[in-house]
Amino acid sequence: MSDFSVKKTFNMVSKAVAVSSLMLVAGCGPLISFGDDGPADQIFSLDYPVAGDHSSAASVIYVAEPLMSGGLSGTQVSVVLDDNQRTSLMGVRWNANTTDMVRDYLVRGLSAQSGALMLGEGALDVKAGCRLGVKVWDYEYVPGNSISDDRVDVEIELILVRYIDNALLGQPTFAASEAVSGSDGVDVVDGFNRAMASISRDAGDWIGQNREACQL
Amino acid sequence: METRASYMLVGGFVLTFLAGLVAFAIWLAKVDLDAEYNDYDIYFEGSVSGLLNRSIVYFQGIPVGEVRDISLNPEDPSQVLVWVRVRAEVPVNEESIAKLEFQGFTGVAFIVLYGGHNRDAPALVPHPGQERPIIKSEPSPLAEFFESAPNLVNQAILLTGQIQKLLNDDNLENVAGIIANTERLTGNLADGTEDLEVMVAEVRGILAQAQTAAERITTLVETSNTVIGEDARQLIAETAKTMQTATALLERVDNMVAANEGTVTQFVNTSLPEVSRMILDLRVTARNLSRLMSRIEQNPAEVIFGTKEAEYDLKSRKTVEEDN
Repeated sequence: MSDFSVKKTFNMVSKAVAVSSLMLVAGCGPLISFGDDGPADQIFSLDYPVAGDHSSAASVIYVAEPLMSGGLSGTQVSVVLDDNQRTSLMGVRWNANTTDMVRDYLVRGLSAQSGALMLGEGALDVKAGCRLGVKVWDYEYVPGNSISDDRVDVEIELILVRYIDNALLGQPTFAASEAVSGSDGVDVVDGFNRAMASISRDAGDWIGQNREACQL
Repeated sequence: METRASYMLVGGFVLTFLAGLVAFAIWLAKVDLDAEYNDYDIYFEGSVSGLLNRSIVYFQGIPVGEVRDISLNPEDPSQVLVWVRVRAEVPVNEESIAKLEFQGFTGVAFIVLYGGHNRDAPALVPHPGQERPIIKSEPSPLAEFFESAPNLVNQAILLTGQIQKLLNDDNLENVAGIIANTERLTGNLADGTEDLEVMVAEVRGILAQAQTAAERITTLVETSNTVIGEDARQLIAETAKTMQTATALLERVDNMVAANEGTVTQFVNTSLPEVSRMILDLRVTARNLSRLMSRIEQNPAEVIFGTKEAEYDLKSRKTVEEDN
């Protein structure tokens, strides 16, 4: 076979491959969404409190990654409807996974309120006196019959365990229900911020009462 | 007319009347004019209550004399001296013994003479300085009984009190229980006696087996002694060698730990908590991965493209179907 024939055959195969690839991509079109022209989602974050400077505190507590009740983990805002129906809020998302958001909020909020040094993900190798387990039972928006009835429910269970003997120091549950004063994503997030602040304040007081058991 | 009295007739009548009167008195007093008597003294220890003058002295159940006098021994007031008069034919010698007896429980006492049947025994003669011979005396069993009666009565009263305490209502119930238990026990024993022979036979069989086992154990011990004697040295040598190796290993570990004490301490203080937390995180991660794998197995498209669900619209306040 001459060089001319080889080049001609190679060109034909190349074209066939290119055409097949185009046809394959065209066939998968219905399966792959390339977006549409609708409005972009609103992305929110919690308003984290300012942590106190307790780096020299004798009581050091490691905040474990929260365990989220079914469907609460993710970036979507959970909605509870009547008859135990659950869905998510359209056009509103969190900027991070709710697991990380709750953990970061508790690290900063409890540190500011309790006087103990609360350690999060970035302080994994720091020696701590206690571990604070977190279980999130409710973290959702609950629409009512009217706007004035809308609210945000947050319920968090804390488990304080002493490392030296694995003793359970306490297992309280803190809950907050805050009204939502508008029909926008900002209003819903504001309710979440107020609920988390309330829980952080109560839980911080409880940690402060038990922090001596977590001294190194 | 002058009364003429016969003095002879009157005098005769009076004398006859007096003679009859004397004879009647003698008969009435039972005076034995022909009898001969001997007098004796008897010294009784203690009381002779019920004995009076003229109380009768018996020998072989026959009245042979009487008590002439009762008085205290001037030399020993605890003794009572009784003077008796006994018919002469009654054999009284050194072997004779006098006892004080009583007529039933009426309290009338009399004296009984025993012994004296041996004719070879020397006759009683008064000791120097004494008027009459002395018959030896023995205390009467009945007198002893009466003497000890007050003590016996006191003891009987005490005994009655103790019995009353013992037999109170509670103890009576207990005694009734004991009797019932005893009856049951005896019944069981009676029943068990029937099985006793069988049990004895079984025990004999067990003893025979035990004897056989003992013989076998003796043989086994002898064999074991031989085996141990041969293998024990090797076993002990291997054990000692193992211990030496273990000791050397521990020394090496100790030296290694000492040389790296700082590192070990840092590991224990810092790394172990980190490892502990990492294990917890890994556990959470593993659970999430397991959940994800389950979803992929059930519906892969849902994992890639998400779940088709109706979202809640804040503006319209109702759920809206999601358009993909």
